Amino acid sequence: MTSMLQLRDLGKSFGSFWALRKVSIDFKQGEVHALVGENGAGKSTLIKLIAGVYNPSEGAIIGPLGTELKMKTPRDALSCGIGVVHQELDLFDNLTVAENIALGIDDSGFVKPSKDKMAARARKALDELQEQKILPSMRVGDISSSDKQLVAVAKVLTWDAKVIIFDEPTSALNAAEAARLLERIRHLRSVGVTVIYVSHKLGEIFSIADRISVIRDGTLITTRPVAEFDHEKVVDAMLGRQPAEIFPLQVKPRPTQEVLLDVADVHGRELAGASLKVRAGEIVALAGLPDSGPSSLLRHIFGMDHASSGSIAVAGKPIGRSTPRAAIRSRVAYLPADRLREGILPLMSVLRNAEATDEAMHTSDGTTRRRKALAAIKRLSVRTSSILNRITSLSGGNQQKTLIARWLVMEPKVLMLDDPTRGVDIGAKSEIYHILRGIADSGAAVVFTSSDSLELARLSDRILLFRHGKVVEEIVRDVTHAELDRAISAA
Amino acid sequence: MIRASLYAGLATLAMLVPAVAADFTLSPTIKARAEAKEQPTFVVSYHDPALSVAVPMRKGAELAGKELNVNALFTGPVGGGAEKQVAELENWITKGVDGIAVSSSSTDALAPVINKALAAGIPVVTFNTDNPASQRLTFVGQDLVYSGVVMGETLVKEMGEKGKILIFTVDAAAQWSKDRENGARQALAKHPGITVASLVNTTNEPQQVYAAIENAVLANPDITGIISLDCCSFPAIGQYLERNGMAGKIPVVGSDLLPQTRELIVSGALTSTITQNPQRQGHDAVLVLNQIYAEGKMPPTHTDTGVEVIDKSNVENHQAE
Amino acid sequence: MMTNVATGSASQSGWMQSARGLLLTREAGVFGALLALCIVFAIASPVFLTGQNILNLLRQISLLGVLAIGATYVLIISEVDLSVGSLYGFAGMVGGLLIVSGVPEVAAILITLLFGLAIGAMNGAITVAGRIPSFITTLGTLYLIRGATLVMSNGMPVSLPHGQGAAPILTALAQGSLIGNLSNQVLVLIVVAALGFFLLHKTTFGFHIFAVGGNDRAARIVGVPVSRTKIIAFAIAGLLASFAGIINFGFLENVQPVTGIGLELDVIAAVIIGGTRLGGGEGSIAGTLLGVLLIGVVRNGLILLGVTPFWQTTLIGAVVLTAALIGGLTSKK
Repeated sequence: MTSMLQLRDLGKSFGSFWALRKVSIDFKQGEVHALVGENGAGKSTLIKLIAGVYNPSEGAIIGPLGTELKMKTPRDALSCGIGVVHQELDLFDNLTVAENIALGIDDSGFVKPSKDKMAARARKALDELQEQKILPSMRVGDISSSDKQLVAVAKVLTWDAKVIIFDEPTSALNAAEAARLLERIRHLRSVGVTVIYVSHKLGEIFSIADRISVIRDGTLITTRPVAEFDHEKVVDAMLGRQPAEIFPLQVKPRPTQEVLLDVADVHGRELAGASLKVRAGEIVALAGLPDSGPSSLLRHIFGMDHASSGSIAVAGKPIGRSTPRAAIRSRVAYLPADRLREGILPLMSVLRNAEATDEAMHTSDGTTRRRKALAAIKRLSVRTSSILNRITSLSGGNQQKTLIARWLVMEPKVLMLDDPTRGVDIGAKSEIYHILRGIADSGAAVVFTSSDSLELARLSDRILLFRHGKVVEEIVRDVTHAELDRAISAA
Repeated sequence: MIRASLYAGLATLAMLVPAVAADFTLSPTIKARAEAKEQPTFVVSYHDPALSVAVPMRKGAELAGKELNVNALFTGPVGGGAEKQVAELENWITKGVDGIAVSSSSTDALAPVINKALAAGIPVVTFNTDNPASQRLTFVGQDLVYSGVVMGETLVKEMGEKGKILIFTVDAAAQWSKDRENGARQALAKHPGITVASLVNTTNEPQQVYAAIENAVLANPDITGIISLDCCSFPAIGQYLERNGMAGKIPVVGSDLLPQTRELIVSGALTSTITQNPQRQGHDAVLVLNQIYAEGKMPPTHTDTGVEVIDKSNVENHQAE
Repeated sequence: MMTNVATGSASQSGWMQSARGLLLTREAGVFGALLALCIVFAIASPVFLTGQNILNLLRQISLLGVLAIGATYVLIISEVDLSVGSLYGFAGMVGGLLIVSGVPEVAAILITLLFGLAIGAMNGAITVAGRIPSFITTLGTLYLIRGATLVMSNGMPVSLPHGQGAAPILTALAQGSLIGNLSNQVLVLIVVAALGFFLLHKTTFGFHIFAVGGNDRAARIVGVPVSRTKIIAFAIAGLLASFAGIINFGFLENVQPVTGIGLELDVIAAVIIGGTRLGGGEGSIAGTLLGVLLIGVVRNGLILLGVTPFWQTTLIGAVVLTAALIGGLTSKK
């Protein structure tokens, strides 16, 4: 098979930090090549290099004719026949589906293509995906995130690219939608397109990939045909050690313990009758597709969204129409998924960040507050040369530990975390897992969501599976993350 | 008639004269400099040097500087703004000058800084626009209420003792505008046959000035006379009347002699203007300051720079300002 | 289960569609407010609906309209141009001085427009290259250009010699009327609005304007020339500001160094009232024209009624706030 794209000793550094180092992969024509690795392993950097978003710090990208491709911008990459379906969905909420699809291909002339022409192109692309309910005239800001995902795919299909990179394309799709997408990808392969497929859903990868490359800590661990792998081997290669070394021991549920969080029949944004109970000392994972309810439920409990009906009680006391301040007073803690926008106070020091909630709530006097914050920072072993450094000088993992320290100061009864290890390297992840287990052991209830099914399966004592805004299944037995993936996407 | 109004004006003036600081003493530094016959520096602060009426004022001040061999600095906040003028003056006080002449953008805002300068022993006079709330040593300029009276009387003379008029101003809230408006209304009140249809605030933006005139005249088609309280809405009125075939049909009395105003008086679209002789105001402000500095002579409370009525009959004798 | 999902999503997008319908009523809302005001003024003043007043009103809003069309581009890309008021005065002064000093009129007009284009492009280039918020960039140029105007004129107004036909093209554009008594300024606005509409809604460049305003990071990845698009948007605003400024000179036959102070706020208010989102990504030429008309009607009507001068300013403030509220309540995101 001919080579479509060859990476030779490709690397990228940011300052003195190498996000990617000497990666060499040969992508063949007409293959589906899966790229796997933990969060922060370097996959995104690699994709951005191939897509022309970043320029390499070392090495080269070689095209099918054996010449080096010098891509300074995404448009250069596109003209070299490389298209990307980005994970962060680079779509325009203010434009229609048709305009989103036309933008970037059909905008070289002076006059904008007519509405009909754009609509026809969009219709054709959506038809190829057998997608009927999305109309070209809809505003992208008005459609659901799974529909957005499909629009992003449709857009790349119209590009006629020879190499297409899919970055977590099914993360917002249900099983049927995902299966349809995989079908499209098989079709692309059959007509000679090279597909680079990035996903952490191993089940999907084994069903579609021809070869797998594993990346860890910025370096390529191995590239092998899919037949030489199985689930265990991929996970081992990704983590570099056994899962047992990373995750703390799970414990059986403790039905005798006090119920600290009691949610009954809550309706609200993305919620349709969600109910659950969490007891002191246990860690409960909320699993489900994005938009199916887990993240939204946490926001409702913390008073950031308001339920239209249903009740929420903390330690037996119902909380009414809540606000974050009221939730904090009930000793509920919440770590948002968007650490940069909703978590850290970027202009302040590590210490001030850890003290922030206590200070805002006037819980302790200054001396006590400082003593508690210092103790929490120490207990979580936040790594920084000085606690007076700005929090932004810390790595993602240490920022996250500082935010957990902020809540430890408040001695919460219920600790809720929305995707707490996003953008955190594997070492810090393991530390965070042990910290959470320690917090549960000291008598708090811990509830979390995650985009990583391995984490859902291995960190929790039990898993509550969400579908369409409510809990549909409780999983208490041991479950592999592949089984869990299937359960999440089954719809 | 004119004589009667002159008396009325003077009477008003007498009522307005504020208490003057009798206990002002020149700072020792300035005194020493004066005795050593050093060249003094006077600051002439106008409330907006970007206005066209400031140009002859600057000329007058600079002329006086040459004549008297003193350093006369004409300055002020471009675009106006009381707080900017206060800040500027504070800087001059800190720097140390030998005398200050101020035209106030706001009476209340400027009074404290004027008194502060006086307390520091720097002589302060006001010119063009007075600041009666302060303890300034003298006011060099035209009395604004009186100039309003003359406007009203001049219009009555042109229009007769019956009719309906419009009054325009670029800034109805400013002290100078209120003073002139009061004066004009005082004069008009003597003639029960005359009504003021509206006071129109045009704002400073030339396009809006023109639009406001257009709208107001359209809304009041039966007007028999117009007064403009300021330099800058005045020529636009003549322009509007000329373009709409109304030139010469409605008497218009205004203020100052801008180049356009002069042309429109010559062409007959505008009737009369009350000038306040801005060049003389700038000149005399420096003159009075130098008298205080060089001769230690305290001026009277008002140094009049006069009122002159210019119309078609005598406009040839006057240069535009 | 399958069908459930489908109907669930469909009903959801149906709901979104009706939200979008509300959004559309936003321009309709401005139109309604305009109509209501017109009815009030028509009842209160017999002059308001006369042909002469309507002709006057249309002329009175023309230059603000030209400025606001330029500002629409800048606001849609989520930037702001505070320097247009200064540039408007500057252009009148440059054009006036050139014509008065004997430069042929056509050359004087072209030079003035080039200045406007260049200063606008400079605003854009500094903002893009320096990574400075345009609020700051154009606040700087607001003062710079005003200062240049004062220095150039030495504080003196510049007037055309009275009645000598010194600038026939400008006076014809600004004072003449080709169609009945309709001022040519209105025709100028119509032509500028038509070109502005075509460029914004029918060309690739306009497409890019909306893309940059919607999500400039994504626009870069898709391959939209983001920096170039921004610079051109500022250049258009500069060009139109200088065009309006020189027509103002042709109309009043006079320009003062203070001409245009504070005008940028009227311009921004008109565009925002017209439904352009301050956060970018949404806006239209039709909406901007409605916003300009609304401000013009308020000014015109209150003077016709002889309302105390200060109420005019108060009412414009109330209109801006109401428009912003309607916008805030109808757009969910």
